[in-house]
Amino acid sequence: MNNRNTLFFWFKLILKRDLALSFKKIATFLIPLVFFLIVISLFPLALGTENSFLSSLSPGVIWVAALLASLLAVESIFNEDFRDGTLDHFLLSGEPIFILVFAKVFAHWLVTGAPLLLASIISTFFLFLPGGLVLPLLVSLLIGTLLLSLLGAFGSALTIGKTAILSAVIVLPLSIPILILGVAIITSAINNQDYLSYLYFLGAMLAVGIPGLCLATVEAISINYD
Amino acid sequence: MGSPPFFFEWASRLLPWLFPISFLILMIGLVWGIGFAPSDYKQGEVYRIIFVHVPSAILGQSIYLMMAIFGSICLIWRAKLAGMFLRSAAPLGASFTLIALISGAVWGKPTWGTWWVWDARLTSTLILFFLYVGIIGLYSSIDNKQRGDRAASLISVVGVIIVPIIKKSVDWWQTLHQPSTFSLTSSPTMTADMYLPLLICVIGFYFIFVSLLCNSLRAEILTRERNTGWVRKYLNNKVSE
Amino acid sequence: MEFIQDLLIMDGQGKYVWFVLLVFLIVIFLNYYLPYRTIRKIQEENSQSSEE
Repeated sequence: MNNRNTLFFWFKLILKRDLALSFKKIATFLIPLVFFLIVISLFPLALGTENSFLSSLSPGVIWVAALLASLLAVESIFNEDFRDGTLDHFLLSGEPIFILVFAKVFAHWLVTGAPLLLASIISTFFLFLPGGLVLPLLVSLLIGTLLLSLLGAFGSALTIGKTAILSAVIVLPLSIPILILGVAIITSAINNQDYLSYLYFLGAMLAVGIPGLCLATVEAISINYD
Repeated sequence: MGSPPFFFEWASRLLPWLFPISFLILMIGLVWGIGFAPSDYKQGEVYRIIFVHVPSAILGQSIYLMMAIFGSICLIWRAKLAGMFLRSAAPLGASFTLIALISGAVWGKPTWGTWWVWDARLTSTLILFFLYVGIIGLYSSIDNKQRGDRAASLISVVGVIIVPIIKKSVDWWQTLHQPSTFSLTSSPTMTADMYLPLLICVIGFYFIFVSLLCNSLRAEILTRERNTGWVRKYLNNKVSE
Repeated sequence: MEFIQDLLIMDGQGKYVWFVLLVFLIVIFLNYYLPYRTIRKIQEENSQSSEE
């Protein structure tokens, strides 16, 4: 173990730790997935089951459900670590903390985002989304859910120990551009327009968001330690 | 200037002047606009709501910007007064944004027949209102005042970076969903008789904002520095007056 | 007199304009009153504790 001093070692360590912690409880995978499906189901229940109506709604509804599921899932990402002192170690470690935070968020996204992608495929059947749109849906959600997890982590760092709904009120308005862009990717695919440029834009937002939001999250965490 | 007791004294001296001046300017602007400006060719009399709607919207957005500026001062230099500014300015910003929303809706009913329209500007204003409420909720939930200040500062700074993105995406979203672009509050082509009272109203609104801000900051300073010597002396002097 | 009538009613659109003005005044008043009440409370608490 002569690589102890490299940043990548610590990144991998935290990634593995968080993944291991998540794997212990099967609920960590299932709950966000099922929450997503429940939200999806609410729409036909509330609005009626007509085929064409639902399929016209489907890109938006799927994205809203993904938004809610991502933000609520990531809400408690720092609570446990704050309480048991692991976050203290992060801050004292001397490594660039935003990399460690990114490791946590990335681990969380692997556990919650991947089931979400699966659930979105299932929901295309519930909402009668045309089959050819599954690819743009998945790719947009792939980038989108990671971005949303990062944003949600920032909100969660601001509200460690407070109710989830406060975190949601803070973060949801900020996530509106992601929502608009994500749905636009799917609807432009419906119209057989080129959706790749929107996708690149979303990717650019992710590229800026990873360092930017992680840095902001670190600042938010350090506020709790004044 | 940056210390609470200095600002407190300074604000206390200014306030008896600030409020009357604000009301004077507001009176001039509003009476001119609502009473004497010519009626609009297309919208008749109801366009006069503009004299409240536009200044409120301008102020709602400026205050958010100011909060980001003072927020960065609070984060970088840990200036207590900068943090207190956020707590006093946020409710004011939310209030002005709320006025802008309500006035926009009331303007829409006689003009376009509906109380609400999802046009780019109103939608952005609604989102701004949500952002304000989030900030207020955040610092209200944190008991430690300094921490609450810093949290609010951080969300303001991050928010101000994301707000242009929100604006751009809402503008773009509107072009996707409303090919017939009509803006709810498309301002009537303004003649000087309409533009001048509007300008005076905007200035009046800024003055009333500063007045209310100083008022609120005085309360905030007294609340926080309650147990310090200078506050005790001040309060005892007040009693003996 | 006719001018006042015209000002209040504005061809039926007066209710909208005056309502907006009312909302504006209420909001401004509340933003003044609540800090004022806070200061009053602090002054009363202080005078109470110094009486003890």
